[in-house]
Amino acid sequence: MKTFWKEFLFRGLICAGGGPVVLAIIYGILGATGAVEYFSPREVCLGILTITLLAFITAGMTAIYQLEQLPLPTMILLHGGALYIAYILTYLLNGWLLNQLTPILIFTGIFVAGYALIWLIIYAVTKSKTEELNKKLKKHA
Amino acid sequence: MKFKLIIDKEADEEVVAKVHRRWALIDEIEALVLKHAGADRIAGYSEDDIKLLAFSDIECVTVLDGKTYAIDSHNRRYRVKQRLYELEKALPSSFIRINKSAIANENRLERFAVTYSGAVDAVFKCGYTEYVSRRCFAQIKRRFETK
Repeated sequence: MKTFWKEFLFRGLICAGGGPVVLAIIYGILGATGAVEYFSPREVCLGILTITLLAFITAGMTAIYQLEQLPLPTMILLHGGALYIAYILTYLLNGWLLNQLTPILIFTGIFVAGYALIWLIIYAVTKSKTEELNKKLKKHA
Repeated sequence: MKFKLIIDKEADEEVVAKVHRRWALIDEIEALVLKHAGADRIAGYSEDDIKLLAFSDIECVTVLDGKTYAIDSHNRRYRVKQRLYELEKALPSSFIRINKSAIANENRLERFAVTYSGAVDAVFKCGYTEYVSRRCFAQIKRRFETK
């Protein structure tokens, strides 16, 4: 676990700076398109701080896959769960998501579908790589 | 390829192969040299038996509850005294790391199998299976690409 936290901090700190960059781009687009005319200092500060934390957690949590002793479904559950909590709290705190059942359910559905899709892609890629390796293994047998 | 024999009674005896890449002949030479030197086997302990396990008969070496075990070609488990890192140095290069706690005999690998959770298992000829870590999977892949 000590290695995990060390790796979590390391990965998180490397990528945390990327969050405000993404936020700046989104704010820039919203401003340029006229969707938003101004942001209050509170909104800007809260946005920067929460997005920095979100990027830190998102990047840091990838360290969980280094823990070989944990079964993969547990890793996925922990990783997905941590990301879900981090994302939903960020969205709710910034007012990007209404604190009502329907929007939260829609958000949850999109999150689960997105997460499942990414894992399906990973599964397909792993399967393809394994089949390729099996061919080489047979060739060298 | 040339064959060079140097007879020097003063020097330590060793067999050095200078090659572009590892291939079947090199594996055979290595196995032959180790066999000749008597360094091609390790002692394996079962409940009431001690057996000298030939490297070629070992399918996998794994650590369970902090103890090192060798799995032989009949899927029998033997306790070995050496630590995994010591065995990794002693075993021939046909033995490859498949996760933090296991080394596999490449020649005894039947196939790699993807589990529904997306993990990869190494399936041995004796039927024993052991998971392959993602880091080791990438290393194994590179190893086969350069063969």
